[in-house]
Amino acid sequence: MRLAHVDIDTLKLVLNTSTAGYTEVRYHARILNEVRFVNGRVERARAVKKIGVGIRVLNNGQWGFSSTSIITREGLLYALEQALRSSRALSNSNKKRVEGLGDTKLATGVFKPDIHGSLEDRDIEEKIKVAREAEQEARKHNGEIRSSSCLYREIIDEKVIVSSDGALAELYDSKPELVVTAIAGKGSRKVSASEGVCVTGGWSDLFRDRDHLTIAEEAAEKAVRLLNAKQPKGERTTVILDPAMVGLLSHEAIGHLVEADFVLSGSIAKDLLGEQVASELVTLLDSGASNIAPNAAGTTLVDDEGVIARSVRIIDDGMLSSYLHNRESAYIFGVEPTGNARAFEYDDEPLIRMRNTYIEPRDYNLDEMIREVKHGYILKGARNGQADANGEFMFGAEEAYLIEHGEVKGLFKGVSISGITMDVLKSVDAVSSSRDFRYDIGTGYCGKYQPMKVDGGGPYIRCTAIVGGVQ
Amino acid sequence: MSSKKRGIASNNSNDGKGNKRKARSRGRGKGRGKDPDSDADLLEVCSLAVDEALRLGASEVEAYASRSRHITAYIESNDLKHVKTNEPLGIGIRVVLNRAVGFASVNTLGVEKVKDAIYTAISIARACPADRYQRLPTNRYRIPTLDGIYDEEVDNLTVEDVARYANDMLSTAKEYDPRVTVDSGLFESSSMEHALCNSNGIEAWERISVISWSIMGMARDNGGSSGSSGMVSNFDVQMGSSHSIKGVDTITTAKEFARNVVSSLNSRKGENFKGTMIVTPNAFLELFKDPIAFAINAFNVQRGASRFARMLGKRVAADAVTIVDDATYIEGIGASSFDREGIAHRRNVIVEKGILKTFIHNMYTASKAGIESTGNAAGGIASPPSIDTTNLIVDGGDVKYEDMIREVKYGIVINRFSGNVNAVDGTFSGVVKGGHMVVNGEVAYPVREMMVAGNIYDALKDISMVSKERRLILDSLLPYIAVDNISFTTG
Repeated sequence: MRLAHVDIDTLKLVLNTSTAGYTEVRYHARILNEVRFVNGRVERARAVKKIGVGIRVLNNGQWGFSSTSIITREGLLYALEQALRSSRALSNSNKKRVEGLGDTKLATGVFKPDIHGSLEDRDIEEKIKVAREAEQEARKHNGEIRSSSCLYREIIDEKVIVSSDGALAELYDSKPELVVTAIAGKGSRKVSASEGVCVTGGWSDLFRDRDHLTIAEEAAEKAVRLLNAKQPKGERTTVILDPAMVGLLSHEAIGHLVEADFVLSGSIAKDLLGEQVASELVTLLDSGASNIAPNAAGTTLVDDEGVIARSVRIIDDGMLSSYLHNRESAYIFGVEPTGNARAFEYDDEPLIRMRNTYIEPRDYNLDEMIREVKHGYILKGARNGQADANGEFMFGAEEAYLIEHGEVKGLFKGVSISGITMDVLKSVDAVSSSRDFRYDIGTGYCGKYQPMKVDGGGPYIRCTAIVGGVQ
Repeated sequence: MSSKKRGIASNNSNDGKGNKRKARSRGRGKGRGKDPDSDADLLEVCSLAVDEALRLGASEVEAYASRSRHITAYIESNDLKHVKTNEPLGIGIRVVLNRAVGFASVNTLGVEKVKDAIYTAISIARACPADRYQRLPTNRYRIPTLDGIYDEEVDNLTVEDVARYANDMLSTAKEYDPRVTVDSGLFESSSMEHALCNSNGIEAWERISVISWSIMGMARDNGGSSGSSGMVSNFDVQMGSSHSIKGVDTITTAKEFARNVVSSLNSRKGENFKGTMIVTPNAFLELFKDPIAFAINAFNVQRGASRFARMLGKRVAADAVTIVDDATYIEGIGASSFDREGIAHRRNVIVEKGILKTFIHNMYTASKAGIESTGNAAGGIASPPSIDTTNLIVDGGDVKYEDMIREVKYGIVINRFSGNVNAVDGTFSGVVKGGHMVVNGEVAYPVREMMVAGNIYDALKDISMVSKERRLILDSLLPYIAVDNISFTTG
């Protein structure tokens, strides 16, 4: 194990100098390397280094945060002074005080996920070659492909977190991703489709299930398939969601509503702890570990408050059983912190964020699920999603396959699906087995002031929702 | 040595070069932990980086550096959460070597780290295939200075000031109606300087201040039973911005937000129908801005991804629609004197009375097309220049908003749109937020669980009315529009 490229004693000096009741110092060195090919040319190839220290204090019940990229004694003490000043700026307002932080065993030691094939050992030529080949494969796949692109991106993190409550953790992380987009055209019609993968792990983990050329072929196939597809009819109907859509449902329909900061602002989950909010078939978790399948992109071993990331059973056999917490909200609710406090870069403060959010498999099989549907859709491939305070969520699919009398019929263009969380989760009447389980929303980012790598997944599920189509 | 002192865009009035340099280093210097790199003159750092990269074998080089100071007060759960200060800086270096490009960036101005970034950029260029259209702009025109985008008073704002502004916005919203609940919000003051040098003699520098604020949340009627969705309104988000302290108006923003969430309480379910959508400026941003920006982007045109490819001079929107991209519109926060490649910003008419007039270009797409760049190179220090809109302006029409409503027989005012828009084929599908049914020219009642779908590029041509009133939202100045024959689904 290599040692962090920062003097831990310098970070500890900040703790010892701080006059605040609680101080947290986080060194974060991020390397982002990226290459994107478009139609045979390099659209961009960049290497970005972002290194600095974020300092957060809780001083007389008020938070203050500052950061610096100047990692010297003077630079850090200046940032500490700024953080303390920020915390004092609020003490004259009528704002509520933070009364305490939830207790838990804080992380000490070195934490690193399983990585097969270190990204740093691969030279840039190999990464460029893979992006170039995948782009070309998609473009040459079929005469109807007009344009294609391939993005390879890797984010390599090194962090050291020390806090006055005793956290002393060295963290390493590595998240590569590859996304291929193909645009098919006929006359003036054009459609685009994407396929990709993002993992927590190394080069071999990235291509464990599919190599780059297979991903490219799948993107091109999908674009060609969608070329003749029309927008489906808008209606409330039965939908079968693929693992990517289940990941997005878990994230948007329930995940955001149970973030404890959102609960405190009055999200609809506020009064529902211990209540039946979903069908008994639904058990939904958010975990820092990559449960059931390996290498999920949101994998987080220790959060940015130095709390060891736990598996949280949000919904247990249909009953709402836990929110997602940082140390502040855990104290308010009188529970143990769950390790959901995450910061994107050194100059971001930790916020309550999800990690890997998924629905546990049961015992249906997909064919059976389709056969029982008189009229409905199978929705595949995740696009954007959003949650609302009143429990009304939406999320988008790339492809919608019509089901009539138990058989899969024509393909329609992607649509957005919406519904009210409890209505939709209570309508779940089939969940497929672990054979179908996968994580599949890792190539996106979740936005909440800061972007964040998260993942989500599950097996196939069947439920009822509104399909946002045409009349 | 290649940097020539020409084309400096400066917001300082004094003309002597020495004075400018002095003026630049004055006014900051608020600590930063006494690091010599952090007080460095940005143009000097860029110029040194250009020389060093040339020495190492690059045939063309561009260095872009920025340094800023931000104070942000966050609102969370009906309360001030915390104040954050941040003083980021850094440099991005683009090298061209044998017609291949490499780029590296680092968040320090320290000499050794900048040198490392130059080596990295060169090694990337060596590994990348050549592209004959890759070239950097040459220094042909003086860059006119844009006045009115820097207010030095912003530098004097303290954490206490920023917290007070945020608190005023929060209490205005709360006092408007007890049912208003503020989920989150922020007030941020930013002061930044950026500089660019390239090996063809371009040298540009300027200072910009931006104050921005936003407020998001819902109304919650506690009289209702829990879990009943009509009792909690949709989210609403309102934003405001200004280059100067004088322009700060959080009160209007907070009241608008509060009015929107309260008026969407007690929403009812509607029915499936085809009718008119009245798109507010906020919803215009969410529905139309990305696909328009995508379709007019010359890179997407040249790669065959834009719906507007081969449409120059042809109709892409209704007669009432004129769209302008204008970085010299100083009210918008997209305003600045020069673009990400050091080319002077200008006003570009994109669509005039429905006819497509030009695409937006950076140097790469312009040299491929054999024309001049439109000054739309975009991005920060951490990315090579891409292409984007600056301030997107849609001209106002000839109908008053209230008359527009009066013209609608059956339709929905879409206050916000939450959904997916595919910029390639134009299809959109999503949820209407804060929607209000319009029946026979009157706003009738708030609706919930209503989805809307259609095609953006068709909708642009089907716009039947454009309002006189417009609203500035950060870097977009937008009217209300009406589009007929849109599908609404409630299931």
